[in-house]
Amino acid sequence: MRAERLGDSAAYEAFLRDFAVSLRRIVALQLRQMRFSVSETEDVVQEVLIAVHSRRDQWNPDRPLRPWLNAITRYKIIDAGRRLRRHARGRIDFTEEEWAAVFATDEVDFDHNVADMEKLISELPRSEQAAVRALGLEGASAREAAEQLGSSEGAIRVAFHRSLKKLMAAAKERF
Amino acid sequence: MSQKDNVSSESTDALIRGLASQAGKRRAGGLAFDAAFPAALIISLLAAIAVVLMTAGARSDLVEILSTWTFQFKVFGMILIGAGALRAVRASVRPGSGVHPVIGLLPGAVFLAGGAVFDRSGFPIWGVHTFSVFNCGGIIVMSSIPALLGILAAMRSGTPTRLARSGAVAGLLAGSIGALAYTIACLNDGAAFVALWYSLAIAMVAVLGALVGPRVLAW
Repeated sequence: MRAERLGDSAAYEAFLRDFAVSLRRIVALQLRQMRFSVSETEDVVQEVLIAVHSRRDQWNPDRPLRPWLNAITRYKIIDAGRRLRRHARGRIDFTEEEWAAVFATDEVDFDHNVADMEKLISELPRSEQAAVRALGLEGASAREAAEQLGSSEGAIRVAFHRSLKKLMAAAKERF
Repeated sequence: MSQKDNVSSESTDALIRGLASQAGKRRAGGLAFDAAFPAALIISLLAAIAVVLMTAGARSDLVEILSTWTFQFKVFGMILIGAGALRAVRASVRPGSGVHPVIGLLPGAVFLAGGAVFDRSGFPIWGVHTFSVFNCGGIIVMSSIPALLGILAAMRSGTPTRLARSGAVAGLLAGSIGALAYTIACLNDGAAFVALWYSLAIAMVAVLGALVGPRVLAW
């Protein structure tokens, strides 16, 4: 590494070669521990070599080289682990269409499907729609709904029960 | 060994030869950390002071309080914490420098804790106003944000290898810079108040740094 600064390519190459040998061993070990394919080893080894090379000016010759190399190696292995994990998840994951297919069923679930509910409600007479929305969906009391809609409490109750009956009938008939 | 391994080994060999041929050539461009960091610190402090002046404004009696021990306690405490954080930041962009950040923070922490324990001023822990704590913490965090960004930007020119930890120490340094700037506005002169709430605000910036560190510092 010191030789590199003086422009001694041969010594630098020998150093990189030595380093690559020990690197290959530690990377393979770590990948195996993380249960990733050992065939990724060379990729990670090369990444570390490039990282060390591109940051070689930042190593302070007064400090030991080993810890410097180890810290960069550790960082790149963790980085690779994260990438491979993401990769693995990508392979297991469904695509959007597949997910859509999983959830697309022919059954209609009123409790969980607001759209279907809304479709039925929208077929009711206008006054009854308002009553159902206020009492059934928004959870208002009969009095609040009456005030809101400018109608009497009794009329709201009647409209609500009438429309509930219609909704039940419509739901049965349709599905 | 399969054939694939041999092939990739060959490509590694070729890579090594390529890298070796660049021996002795300096990397062009890109400000080195040692050059970028002092500039980032100065800009951070100025930005923090600007935020404090814009939000709280300086104390009207700033000139008179400069010589009081309560003001100096704040300033000295923040400088001690900042110095510890600064050492930690410098270490964190040098791979394998093996300095644990907590050790550098001990002097500042001991100083602040000592001040809190021996605080005989009877100054209320919740500050002079109802909103003192909220106000002071909020402004310290706000004035630390530009500092945090600047320090993280400078750290990108170094080689951080533990990103969350690096982000956290960047947050500590930014927080102490923000708190240092806030001393010119702070009306709460109790040592216990400073030790508790300043530290909490700095810790919040540190947590923020730890959260953004892995995203911002990855290389």
